[in-house]
Amino acid sequence: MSRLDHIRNFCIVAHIDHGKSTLADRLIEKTGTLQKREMSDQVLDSMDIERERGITIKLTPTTMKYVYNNEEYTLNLIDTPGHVDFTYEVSRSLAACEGAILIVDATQGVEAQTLANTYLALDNKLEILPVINKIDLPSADVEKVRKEIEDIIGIPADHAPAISAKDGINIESVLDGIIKEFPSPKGDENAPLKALIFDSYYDNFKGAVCMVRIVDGKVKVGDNIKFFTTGKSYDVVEVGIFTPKCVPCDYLIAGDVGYISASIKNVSETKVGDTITLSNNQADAPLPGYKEVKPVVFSGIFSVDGSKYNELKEALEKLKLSDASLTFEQETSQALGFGFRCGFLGLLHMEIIQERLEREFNLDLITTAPTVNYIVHTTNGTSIYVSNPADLPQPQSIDYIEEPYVCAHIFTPPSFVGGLMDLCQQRRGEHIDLQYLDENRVQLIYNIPLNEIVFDFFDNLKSISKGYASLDYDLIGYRPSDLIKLDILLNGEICDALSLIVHKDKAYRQGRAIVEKLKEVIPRQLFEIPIQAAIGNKVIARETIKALRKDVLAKCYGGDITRKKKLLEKQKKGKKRMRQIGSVQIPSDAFMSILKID
Amino acid sequence: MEKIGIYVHIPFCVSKCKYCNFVSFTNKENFIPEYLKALVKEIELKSKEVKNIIDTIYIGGGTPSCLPNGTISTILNSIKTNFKVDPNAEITIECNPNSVDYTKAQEWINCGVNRVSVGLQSIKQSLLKLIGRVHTKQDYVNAINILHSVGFKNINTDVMIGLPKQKQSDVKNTLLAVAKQNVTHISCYSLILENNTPLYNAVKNKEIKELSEEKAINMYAFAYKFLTKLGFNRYEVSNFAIKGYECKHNINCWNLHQYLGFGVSAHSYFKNIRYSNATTIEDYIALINKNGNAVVEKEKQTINDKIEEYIMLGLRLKNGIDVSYLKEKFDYDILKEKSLTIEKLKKLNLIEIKNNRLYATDLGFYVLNTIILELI
Repeated sequence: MSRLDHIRNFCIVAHIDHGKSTLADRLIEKTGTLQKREMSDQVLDSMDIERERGITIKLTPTTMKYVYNNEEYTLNLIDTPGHVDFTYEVSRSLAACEGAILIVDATQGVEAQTLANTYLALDNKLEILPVINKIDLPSADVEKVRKEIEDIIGIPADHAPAISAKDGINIESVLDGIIKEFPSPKGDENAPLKALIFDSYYDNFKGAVCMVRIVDGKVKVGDNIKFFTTGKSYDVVEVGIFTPKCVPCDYLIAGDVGYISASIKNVSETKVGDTITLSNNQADAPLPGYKEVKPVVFSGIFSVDGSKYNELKEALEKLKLSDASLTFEQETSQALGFGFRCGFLGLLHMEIIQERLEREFNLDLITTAPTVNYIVHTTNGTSIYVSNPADLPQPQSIDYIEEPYVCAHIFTPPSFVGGLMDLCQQRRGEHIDLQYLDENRVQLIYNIPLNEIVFDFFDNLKSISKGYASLDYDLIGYRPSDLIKLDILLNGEICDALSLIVHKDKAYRQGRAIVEKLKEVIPRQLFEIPIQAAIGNKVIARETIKALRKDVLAKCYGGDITRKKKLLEKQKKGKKRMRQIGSVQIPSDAFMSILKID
Repeated sequence: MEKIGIYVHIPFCVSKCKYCNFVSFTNKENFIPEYLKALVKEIELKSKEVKNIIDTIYIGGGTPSCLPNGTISTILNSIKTNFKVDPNAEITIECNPNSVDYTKAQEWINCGVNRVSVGLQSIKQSLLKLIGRVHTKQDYVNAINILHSVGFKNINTDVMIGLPKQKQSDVKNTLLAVAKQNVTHISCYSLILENNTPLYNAVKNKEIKELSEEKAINMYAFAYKFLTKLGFNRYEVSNFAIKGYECKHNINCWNLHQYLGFGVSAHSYFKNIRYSNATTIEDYIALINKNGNAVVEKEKQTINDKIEEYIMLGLRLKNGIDVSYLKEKFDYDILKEKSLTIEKLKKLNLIEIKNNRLYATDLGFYVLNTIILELI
């Protein structure tokens, strides 16, 4: 057998908590790649946020050695981010593999995300090895899940290993399956270099590092490499493999998975999906499938303490070094001052960035309600992208507006179908299909404006379905829509950071709900505060926060002073989290709270 | 040398009122002799390092009047033997209407007490029962008569406003009854539901309904007007007095004067440090016997602390804070530093500035907490 015959490149696809990281840990442990003492739970989840939330955004790739029938095999496990925000990245990781382990939870069965990722894997012509996990749980039903995999996904599952990644049961059958079921990579060691970038990261010492799958050819230290999309060239400083730590080696060759570092300044030069070749022996064409990733969700990010603008800017610049999909540009809000309009791949991506800014850079942030990118066609024949409600042109100069739509797949037990269909209708959804996959599972397909998805759709979906329904969606393009700007006035003044772009038919209901919500979240102050929702000059809803008339007429004698002062210090701290807008003090989370109004 | 005050805490009560979160205990009377010993020891030891003249003494609780005969004179004599007490010092004792008798009253006046503070809260029996008070209206009248008969001229009565189920007529009747007894001082507190008190829990569990904010405000406004008409001048948020009978001990404390505290959970403020004692009787006695003091917390005041405390406490007083004092003593120009806030508060008619003093208006007193928060 040749060298390539002893290599398997594979990934693991799974719904968010079906056990991807745990299985990865067990594989690493079983193959002796890391000693037990080096293992911490879920070793491949590299960010604190991932470990804390128990979700995996990105796994570190790992090269493992496994002996099967007295022959040593090299197994390369490649990451797939398990979330809809990162679908493109998933597709590139899949393109670097020949096989995919599909984990299905023996207690939960197939979920929308499982299906979406499986389809992606099938699109990339991957061999699929289903694995049924969590058989240690009392409610596990392996046979039912086997049938589900066959019925819903349409792949045979009679040979699917039934395992418990947590308890380490049947892990060998997964390793054996990888070798038996997955094809070995094909590739020509002597052809010009074609390396697929399936991910990249920023290292403080090495700069941007490319994670690559070598499709053809060979690359070594000292080679001058060239990136197809940017056309830029660099000298290779180091190549190596992941164990999952970086271990330098002499060269990477067709079939290998590893990393290339070449003193590249930031990750926007090392685009996921791009092809690396050699400057002096160029491949004639890049690998197929490259796509520029564009943000789809936008929001304004401001520092609670207005004077920390520069810190916020530096923090965003640093994050951008390692996250090419984050975009930001300066935004000036009348209410919130200087900040940034940031673009994200989706809502989870947005949350991750916010959390990293707060945690890693110790910033207190105000985040405005997320919006999408609209195309505004003006009466003078031009068209512009608008993601910030404040940038929407005057109504008289707008010809029409288009908004992005997604095709949403919802998986749910049948009992929640009615509620979920209502939700989709309310959210201007266009019914496409309803399929009873089996007696326990229904697939709903709707085309829905993305604007409605970012408006707290997911939380509603989860609450209607008691957490059982799952959602996955794809952007399908733009459609003209009757959209208007809804303004919110505090104490008679427009607060631009609270403006929204909404559908005309929903403006009244949303306006009412928002003023009611704001009345709840803004504490009473020393004077009365009217809160109004308005379209243009027309007020459509109004609430009033009554003036605070009485706080505490308590006693305060010698023995009370220390306690009283501590209380005051605490209140003072709370006040610091407030932002003064005009004469009104607003808690920093009020700006996001207007999303949660259903 | 600055004159200073002394506070003595008596942590014993016959029964615990349902709104009370002060450090006081029932059924611990067997500790009284040991407690008294510890108290005297604390006073003696402290007097060795503090030589200031004492101009006010305040014996509070708890219920100082429930102590056995002779106890109060033991405490006061110990203070007078060990410290230099101003002959004109104001000496106050707190008492409950049902634990005052002729012998005790005589003992108190003989050992130098010249001000008595009586906790009445209300004369309405059903309200007294609701808040767990064990005395009657008649107990109160009897107590005042006894106090007058032995010669007390300066008497305070505590009343409460904003109790669940309270009506404006209850407040009026109570204030009238109190004024009729020729007291010189009335403390008029609005009910605060302190965490984990029985009353707080009852309201939380919806067994008792809290008085609406609107009603509570109107009631307080009424009390204020009514007391003013009766000749009582509001000199602090919750305190009213006939001219000349304001409580010196508390005024001093609001003006950041120094004081020493003796007993369980007593606080002291001396040489820029705030101290507080252990909060259980057992711990206090053990610590005094072991170390000669029972301090469990000690906090040095920075200039900033002092500025904040001066504002926080001074604004409780009718005549507010002295702007030039802040400037001279702490180099802090509040009119400049907080000019926008002050303008805003003035416009809302919540504060006024006159003759270099910044003070809360009648309207401002209702939201004093928020005003203080804006000004510190």
